[in-house]
Amino acid sequence: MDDGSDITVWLDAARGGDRAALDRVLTVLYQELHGMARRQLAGQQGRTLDATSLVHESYLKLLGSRSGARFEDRAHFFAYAASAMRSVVVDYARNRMARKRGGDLKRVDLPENSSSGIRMDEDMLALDVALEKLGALDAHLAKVVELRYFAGLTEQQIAELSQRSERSIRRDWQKARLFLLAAVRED
Amino acid sequence: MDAKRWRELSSWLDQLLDMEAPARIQRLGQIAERDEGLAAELQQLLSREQESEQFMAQPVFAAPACARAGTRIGPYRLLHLLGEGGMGEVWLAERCDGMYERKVALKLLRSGLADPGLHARFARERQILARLQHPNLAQLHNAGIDLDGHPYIALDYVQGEPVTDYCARRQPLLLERLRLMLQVCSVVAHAHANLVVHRDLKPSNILVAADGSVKLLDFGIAQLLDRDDEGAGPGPGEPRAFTLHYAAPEQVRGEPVNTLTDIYSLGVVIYEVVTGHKPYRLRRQTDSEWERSILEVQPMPASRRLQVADAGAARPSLAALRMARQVRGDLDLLLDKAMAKDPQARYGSVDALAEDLRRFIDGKPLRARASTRRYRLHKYLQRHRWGVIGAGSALLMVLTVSAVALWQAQQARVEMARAQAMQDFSVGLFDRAAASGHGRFDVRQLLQMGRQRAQLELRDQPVALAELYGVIGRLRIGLGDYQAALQILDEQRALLQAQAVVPPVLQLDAVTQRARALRMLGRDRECVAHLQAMRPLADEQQGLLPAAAAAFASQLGRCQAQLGDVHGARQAFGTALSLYQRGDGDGNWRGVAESLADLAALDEEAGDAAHALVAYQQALRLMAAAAPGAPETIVLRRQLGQALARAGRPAEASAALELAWQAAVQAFGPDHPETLSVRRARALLAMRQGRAAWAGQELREVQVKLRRALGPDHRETGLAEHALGELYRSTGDVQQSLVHYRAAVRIWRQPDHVALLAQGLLDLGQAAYEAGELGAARGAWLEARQLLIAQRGIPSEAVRRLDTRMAAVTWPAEHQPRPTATN
Repeated sequence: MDDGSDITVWLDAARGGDRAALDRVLTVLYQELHGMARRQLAGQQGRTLDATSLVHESYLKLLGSRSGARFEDRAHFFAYAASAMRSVVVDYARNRMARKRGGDLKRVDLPENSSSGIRMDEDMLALDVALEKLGALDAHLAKVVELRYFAGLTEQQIAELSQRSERSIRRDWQKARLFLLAAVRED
Repeated sequence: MDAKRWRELSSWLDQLLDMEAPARIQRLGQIAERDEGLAAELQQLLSREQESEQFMAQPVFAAPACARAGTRIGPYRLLHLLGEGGMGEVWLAERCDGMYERKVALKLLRSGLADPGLHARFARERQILARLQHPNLAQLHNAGIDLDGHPYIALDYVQGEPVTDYCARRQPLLLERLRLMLQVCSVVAHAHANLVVHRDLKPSNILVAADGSVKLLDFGIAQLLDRDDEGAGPGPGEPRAFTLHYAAPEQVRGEPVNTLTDIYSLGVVIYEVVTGHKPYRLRRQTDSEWERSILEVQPMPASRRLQVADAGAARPSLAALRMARQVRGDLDLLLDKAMAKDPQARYGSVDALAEDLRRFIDGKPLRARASTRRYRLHKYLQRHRWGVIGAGSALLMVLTVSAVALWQAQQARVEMARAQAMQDFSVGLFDRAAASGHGRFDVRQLLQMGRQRAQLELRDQPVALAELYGVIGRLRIGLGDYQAALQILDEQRALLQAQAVVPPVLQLDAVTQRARALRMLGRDRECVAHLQAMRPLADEQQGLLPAAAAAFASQLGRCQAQLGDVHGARQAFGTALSLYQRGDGDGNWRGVAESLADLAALDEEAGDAAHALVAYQQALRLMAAAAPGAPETIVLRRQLGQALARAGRPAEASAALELAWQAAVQAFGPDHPETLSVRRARALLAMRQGRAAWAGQELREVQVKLRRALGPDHRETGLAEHALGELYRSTGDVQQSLVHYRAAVRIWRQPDHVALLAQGLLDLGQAAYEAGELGAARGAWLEARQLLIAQRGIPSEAVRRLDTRMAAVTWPAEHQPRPTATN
């Protein structure tokens, strides 16, 4: 993968509204997270992924060693990382579904259930669809969900990153869950 | 659903999620009346509230997974995972270099979480543990950083079970349970003696081994008291590093913790060890419910808790009932003191707590004394932060003050002597006047006389003259002659300004009285400016002249409150209260009572009516004990009556206002502004009770008298106009109501009264709406909204209520209001 300095440049460009740079960041992140997830899982059947450490590690890897990383970088980074993490997870779920349909159940990369009790198949895909809907209505809430659920950040960390009160983050998280639960149950 | 609809839903959810079930149902009902679909949708979302607490509660992948069995960490080999905590994992491990056999508990920093703050805390724990040595403490064996850079700590591996599990399984007798807790006290006391606070005392950290010995674990978040390094407390982004269930109120509030915090947590653990239950019973198991309980709810006494049957059992066990009898009284008191909301009301040290535990075990009377007056007062104070701040700054002040105190004490004696002479002079004046008038005299005439005489007799003693002017000014204020009072206080000010040296007590008193006159005249901005100029002096004199500094702070707070500066006012009242509390004379208790009432008024303003009522009643009791019949009682009764009326308790309100009215007429006479205030409050209550005709007569008279006493532009005159507006609106005469509301709003537009303006505009808007003047209604409401936001910040309850109100109106198309985000 590319040298970390490029990431910073892309992040700057992405902040400036450059879609291509944003895609680039996400792609690199995705590859990075994906690779790390695989490495972590290698030979460890039954162990689970630690989303938080994945995200933190990739942060360190991509930006952390560079002293020039600024706060906005951090906030943006986590937002991107969270959404990349979501793609990683949803892709896993999708592959898993495909394999299930194909009768190939030998390779088990991810645990049957996530630690929040959501099954890594239809459940996850339904959640993804619901989250998509939420994002269209209220991008802000969807972002909180990604940071909280997919990147494993605490409400306090999210509050710090987004420079809002913890209380308002907690409230957003509560509303988002009400919405998602209703959407998932409806279907 | 479209984004607009969601925004609407979202804004309603913000409100509804904050409400308790009954209020929520009521509000949903109101929404349904207007928009059934909306209410149904909200209902549907909310119906999943309980379920949603668990939904996605854990991140998609949460378990840290780097270390595994067999991994070598430093000289240790990991055997199996014992548990996970906020900071990392704990593994059972053994030495792989054959140094010794014993297995250890190895704490590992959460892998991958390369957070320098966490490293620092880990290092701190190492440092702390190295300092502590105690038979009941899991001993530190080794600490280091392994080849991958992961720090680790090796501790005694304690085989035991949490103290609560132990008690649940073995069902030991009460005294045996308490003896276990005595062991815990002894190790916590040892830590405190080493300036270490545990901060996370809980049953899972207190293990009982098979032999009955207790070991305390996990100083993971302990804090060194003697190091004020920046990493000491959790930073803004750090997760809460304690277990909520055993957290003390100050921890929940995010305030600094100290040894008293551990005493609270010990109290909770003892409670649970004795009763088998946590001290708070929650309707909903959420963090916010816990926080609320910790901050506000008085735990059910342990003896009563023991009498409550466990879930599934028809009645409590005989053992529990027997224990309840043992616990009732002394142990309830002990727990009450340990778990006091206000740290200052708790045991002062773990040793003191342990001492009472021992006394209980030995059947001796406890040292803990039942609630005193001061202690009950603290219960009210604990909601206010300055208690903590005050303690620190008071100490600092004592230190700085003591150096200069010696020579100042002499000064003070000189001043006292002069003050005494002045008092004699004034009293003599009264005596003479009383004698000449055969027991009856006109006070105003007397003051006039006194002034003339003083100008002659005290001509070459300007400081004494100034002091007398002060006395006259104070009496004038008491009489309601605010203008005359200000006039003589201005003269006093001029006299003092010409002096090279003015005794601080006189200076403070002069400034305070003049500010009071200004406030009574509704000139609150001048009042604040006048006081602020003298604030350094007041601050400086807090140690030597607490009463004068307190009166100064009270006055400042009241003017700030009138101007809507709630924060400043709260601070000032807090200062006044803590200063008054230092003294023990009746005057101090009067001051305490007044400060409590001042704070209660702020609480009420902030919507905390329940606390305000309690505080008003407490203030009245204090006042009745300290100074029965004092004129301040009248004001207190009026405030209480008004608060009761607003709280929807008309009968009690009426009783309080009736007492205030009788006392006011007797003490002040029928034309005094305060008497008129009482009369207005009384009439408004009668109006709400359906006696509109009588109320109307009263209010019209009050309005005329107030205009005469205070002028057409005074805040109080505005209140009278506003009251008339209320009256006409209640009788359906919307046009008249508009006239009076507009008059009130005109008066309150003056910069000194803007704090009242928002309410005036809200009511004006409502009346205009009822009169069908939608444009005017909207204008008034929008202006009110702007004011409210400027005064209280956006997410205030008042703004939300207004938005709800405005959202409920069907505006003409060109005025469609948009739902407002509340963040």
